[in-house]
Amino acid sequence: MKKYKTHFKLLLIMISMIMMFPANTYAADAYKTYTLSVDGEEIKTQTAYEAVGILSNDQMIKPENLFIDQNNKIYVADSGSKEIIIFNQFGKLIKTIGKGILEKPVGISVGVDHKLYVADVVKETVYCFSSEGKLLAEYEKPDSPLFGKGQPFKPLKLSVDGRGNMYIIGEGAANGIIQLNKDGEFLGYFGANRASTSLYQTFKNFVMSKTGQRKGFMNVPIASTGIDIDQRGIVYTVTNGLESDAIKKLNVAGTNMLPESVYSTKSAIDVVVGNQGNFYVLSSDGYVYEYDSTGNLLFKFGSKEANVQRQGIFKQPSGIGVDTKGNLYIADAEQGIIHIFEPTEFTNKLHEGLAYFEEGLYVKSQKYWQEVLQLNSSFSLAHIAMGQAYYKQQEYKDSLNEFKLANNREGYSQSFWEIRHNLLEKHTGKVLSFIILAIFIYYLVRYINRKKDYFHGIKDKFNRFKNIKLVSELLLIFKLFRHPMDTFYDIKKLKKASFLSATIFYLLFFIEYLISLNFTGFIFNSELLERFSLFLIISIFFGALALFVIMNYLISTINDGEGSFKNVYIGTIYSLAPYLVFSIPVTLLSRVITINESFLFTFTTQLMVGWSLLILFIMIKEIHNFTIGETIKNILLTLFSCIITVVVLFVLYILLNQVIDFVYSVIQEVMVRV
Amino acid sequence: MYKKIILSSSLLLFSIQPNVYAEKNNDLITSVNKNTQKYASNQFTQMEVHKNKVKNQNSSLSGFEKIAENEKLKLYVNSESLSIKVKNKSNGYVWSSTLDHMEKYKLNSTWKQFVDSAITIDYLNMQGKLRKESITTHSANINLKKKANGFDANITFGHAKIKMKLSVQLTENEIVVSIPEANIVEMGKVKIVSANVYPFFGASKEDDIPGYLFVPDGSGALIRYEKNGVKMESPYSATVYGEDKGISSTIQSEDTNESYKASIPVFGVVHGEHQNALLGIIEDGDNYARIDAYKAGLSTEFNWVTSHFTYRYTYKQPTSKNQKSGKAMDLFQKKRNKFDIKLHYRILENENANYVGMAKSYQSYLVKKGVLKKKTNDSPMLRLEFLGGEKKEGLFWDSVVSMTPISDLPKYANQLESVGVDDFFIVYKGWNKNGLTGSFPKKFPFERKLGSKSEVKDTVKELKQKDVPLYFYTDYVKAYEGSSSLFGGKNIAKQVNTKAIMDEENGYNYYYLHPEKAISDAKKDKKKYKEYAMEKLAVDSNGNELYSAFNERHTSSRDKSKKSANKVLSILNSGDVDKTALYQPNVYAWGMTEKYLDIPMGSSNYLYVSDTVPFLQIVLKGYIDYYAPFSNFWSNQKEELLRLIDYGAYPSFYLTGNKSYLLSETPSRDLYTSEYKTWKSEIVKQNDAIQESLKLVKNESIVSREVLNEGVVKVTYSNNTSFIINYTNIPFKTSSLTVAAKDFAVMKGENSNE
Repeated sequence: MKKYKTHFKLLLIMISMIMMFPANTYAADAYKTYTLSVDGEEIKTQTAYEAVGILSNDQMIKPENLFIDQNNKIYVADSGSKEIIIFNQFGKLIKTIGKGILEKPVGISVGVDHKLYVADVVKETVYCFSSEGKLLAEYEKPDSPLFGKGQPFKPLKLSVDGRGNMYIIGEGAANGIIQLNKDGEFLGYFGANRASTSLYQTFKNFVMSKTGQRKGFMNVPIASTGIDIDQRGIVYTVTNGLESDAIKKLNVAGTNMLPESVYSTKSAIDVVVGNQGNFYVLSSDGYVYEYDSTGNLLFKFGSKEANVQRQGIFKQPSGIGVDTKGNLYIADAEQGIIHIFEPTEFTNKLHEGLAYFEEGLYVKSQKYWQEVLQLNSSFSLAHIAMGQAYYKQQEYKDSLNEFKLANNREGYSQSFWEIRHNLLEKHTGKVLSFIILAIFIYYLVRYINRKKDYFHGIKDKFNRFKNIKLVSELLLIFKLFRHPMDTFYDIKKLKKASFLSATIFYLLFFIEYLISLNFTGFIFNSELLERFSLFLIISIFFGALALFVIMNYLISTINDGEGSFKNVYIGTIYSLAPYLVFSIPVTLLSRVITINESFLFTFTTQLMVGWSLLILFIMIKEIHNFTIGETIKNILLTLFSCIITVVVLFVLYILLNQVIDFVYSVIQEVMVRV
Repeated sequence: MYKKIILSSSLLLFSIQPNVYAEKNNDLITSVNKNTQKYASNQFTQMEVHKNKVKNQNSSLSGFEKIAENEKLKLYVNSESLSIKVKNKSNGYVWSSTLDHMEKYKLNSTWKQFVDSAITIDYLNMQGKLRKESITTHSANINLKKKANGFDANITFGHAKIKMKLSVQLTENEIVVSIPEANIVEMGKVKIVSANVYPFFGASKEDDIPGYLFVPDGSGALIRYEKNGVKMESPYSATVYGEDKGISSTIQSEDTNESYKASIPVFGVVHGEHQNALLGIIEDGDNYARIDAYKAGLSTEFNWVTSHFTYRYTYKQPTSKNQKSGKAMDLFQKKRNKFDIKLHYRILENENANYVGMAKSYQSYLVKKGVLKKKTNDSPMLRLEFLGGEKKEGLFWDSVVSMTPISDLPKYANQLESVGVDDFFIVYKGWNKNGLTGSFPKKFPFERKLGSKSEVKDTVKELKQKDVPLYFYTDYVKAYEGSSSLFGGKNIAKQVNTKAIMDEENGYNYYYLHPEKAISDAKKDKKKYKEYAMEKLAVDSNGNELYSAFNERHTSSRDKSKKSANKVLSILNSGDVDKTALYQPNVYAWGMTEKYLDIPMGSSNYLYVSDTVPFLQIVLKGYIDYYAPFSNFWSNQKEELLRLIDYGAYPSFYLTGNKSYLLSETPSRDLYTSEYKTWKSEIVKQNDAIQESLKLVKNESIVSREVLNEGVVKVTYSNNTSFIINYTNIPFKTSSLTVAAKDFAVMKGENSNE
């Protein structure tokens, strides 16, 4: 279920991305800055990083990768001039290294003692230089059998940890990041990506013979494209071309510490760790993403254009670095320059708040978040932080509101628990005494009533009411719980239910569905209603039901099913009795429970749905008078025909569109030309 | 926040009495770095470095004959190429339209001819092929006639056989170059496409002399001469008043903010700051002009800026319906754009030889033309725009999200007055039927959810009593898709390739009204405005969108559209409605501008640009009040506030009564912060700062602006009051005063307002 939710989110994001078009006269910068809104959509925000200039030098031709050390020296791997270019913090050229040795330096990192490590993809070697430019060591392909003989060693990017271990990304190194110790010994592979198997691939593997598979394109995981290591030895990698897990934050054991739901890009090429535990990802389509330590997106900014020479607009972004002041340096391989970005006052405020927030000093961070919210009232993370702060101060109502604004279920649940707890504490006595009183009265009334039948008249009326045809038809549904098979016999042979009663239940079903969508507690709400138009929900809902009923009827007529269309129509909705009866109580339940008790909600929901499906199965069996085997066959065929129908309708829709398009263009052309 | 400390009274001997506003409580922890590169970036103005007298390049007069002279200037001409040289008699500096000893430079013959010739044309020959010809390419036939103040020359191009008349005149301190439309003759099927006039006037080689090119990008931008700087990959090329959307529509990446338009037809060259400068003003032909600037290293070793005139635009005629397939033919306009070319080159020297002097010179030119009139009335120094309602698309019908009902406006005005903010005006947006993006071009009736007619009248009256001007936002260009009044396509302007001109904002499409339709709409609405007692209007788009329309039977050339736009404004201006407030108006609408809204506060950040300067602001200050874009969207609050004071611009806020997130599903979803409650304190803060500073120079104009240090600017006004603005993180000290980091100081002149 959760998985679908994320897919769903992705879809929504895609839709919203298509919908967004430029129209902004506010910003002075050439590019736009976005953040995630509380709805999980990108919204514009104030400039987070201001393009303040560029680093350019006649020597620098094609910067591929850059590294910034603790003294804010900037090391650039330049494949154009085939050397490493070093600038000081003011952008003045200090020296160049590696002329004549390097063939195509594409990766650079600086380790302890200011040793430079350079990945050269053509020479298939990692070089180590002293800060003076003296060649200290060369690391070639490890000869360890663990490395694999057939494995290529073409180092692209690398990073070095505090102990001098090298983490090397190689071209086509599918087994993961190559880990070498400071003597160049192979330690193992690290943090490999998983091979993604598409539906088509699975199908192909299923159909094809083993040899055929071997001949075909090997399905191997993609190698990462960017790497960085923070001071605690945590490895960050990004992978270009991956849909999920494109950004990873790996602990020593090589497991990813980021949640799957990280808002990421498919074309990430480089990653760098910032000063507050935050990290930045650069994508080849010209965006810079900034995340906090847990993978929440803070900002996305930048733009890529082929013919524009403006500050902060990339042509071919290739590498990213950050200095100790939080300034970003982004290499542009095509323009041969490095763009410099400075954090704005807004971003500094946010970072300040974030720093306290990460340390758990929520209350202290509140001031900064308040200012951030003044500047952008939809800033999701700020609402979460405010919620935490209120929570810490035991202002649960406020924190509940903030979490709700931020769409944060965990936080909301916590606050709700506290509020509920307080309420229970306050009112338990009263409620308990009320219940005891009620029970007492009930028994009292029953006791008195046993002697003299006071309620005789009411009972009579009720019985008469029960005997009204429609009412009895409707009440039949309760029989299903006790005697499902008998009930379907009643429906089929004795005609104890009618079109009218079934239709009423269909409508009831829809209304209850809407109620469950709308009134399910915030924690469990799927928010379908807010995201999609009512019209779409109505058409999908009734479309699916109609499709099932019609297809089931058609399939069973050719399968010797006995049921008439009317039987199927009535039977289907009566089968959903558990849902019809329990949906409202479950919805109400969802409003008073927290995540801790979420199993109650999921369990009852599953029970409700499972029960309905079971009865549906019985219904098909009974109505059509099938054996169990025939019933299963019938259901599978029904589902299959449903899918085929949808596909056919879709194809027809596309064809029709094409025809309309064609006719339209003919008319247009005639009008223009004549 | 700013506390006044009068430094010393012993300075009474001098007429200047410095007041320093120092920041008192520095309670915010800022991790802002001390040594930032920002102030050396092109978003700021750089210091003047070279003080030595520049060497006069290209000053040789051999081959040139003197043809006219006045008290200030001498004009020389070469009879073969018609290139000119102008000598400034006061300092002997010679400005040249060509280069001496061209054989020294790496120029091929086409470039040499281009540099040397007065005119270079592009034309279509008999076969329809695009060709280039300069006067000297095929030794054009020239008939040179000497006139009292200059010369007339009839030119017949050697191959193209196109005939033109060039006339060059000296007047006071300027040279006027003109090419009248009436004298252009095209022979047979040959068609003129475009013309360059004296492209290399004031050109200089690499960094041989210090100085810069001035281009009208945003508020103004300078391209300094340097040898090893950022390489320009393609020229700065800006169509005056923006691209004609009737010809082409450029598509940008959706994450790129559009670059600024050239809203004034000027360009300039400086040879040594405070030494020599040349200002080019396009008087006629501006509607078809483009300003091109080349930095040394791009094509040639020279820095040059010029105007380029297009007689026939090329456009894309799609040949298939599927626009994504991109199948299209490149065609040239059949009919020639009819316009005279008239260019003024003003020679400036000494203290006027920089961008400030150029701006002052352009200002005096506009004053003389009657476009700018000295301000006398008192106008507010703060703009508050309130969003009334916005459209929200629904399943069956659209609804309106009410953000600020009109009757709430006096409430906010009262609240602000009670905290000392009383010098502001209000623009009320989104009052029209269906809200801001609702029903344009249809404006009436007033949106019901925001108030009734009587409420509108009452509010207008109430605010009038309080002396808070209330402007109603309106627009006579945008026409939203689906608006009922668009029935039939003839009210919509069409492109030359018969497609309707269209644009989009947050995924909502809108068309451009035909300029003539805009006039008739304005006339119709006029009565309605009166009915609702709407006395003042803030008009969007009409002042800044200039487009031709190629609808069958009623075409509108850019010239005509400009007249129509001015007609619309004058209709809205006449009678009950006072002068209007306009959003980023181009210069032709300035005559009808009471308030200039959303003035550019920066440039487009081109890499090759070295400085951003407040050229527009210097031209306007003291004549038209101008207001910056909304402070809501600033990311550097302190710095931007300082920039307001530096540029003499008044602050603006975009406000709503309700919470901004209600707009998240509407076309105004970009308005992510606007709630009055959250912005009130910032309004007070900015208002205080402006009252302490810019109030002292109300209705005065800027006389000088100099950069004292990287990131430190001194601006002096006509009443001798000056401001020192310190953008940096380090206090700035002079002999007499200290300006705190990120702060400003005021030095009052003797005849200041207070």
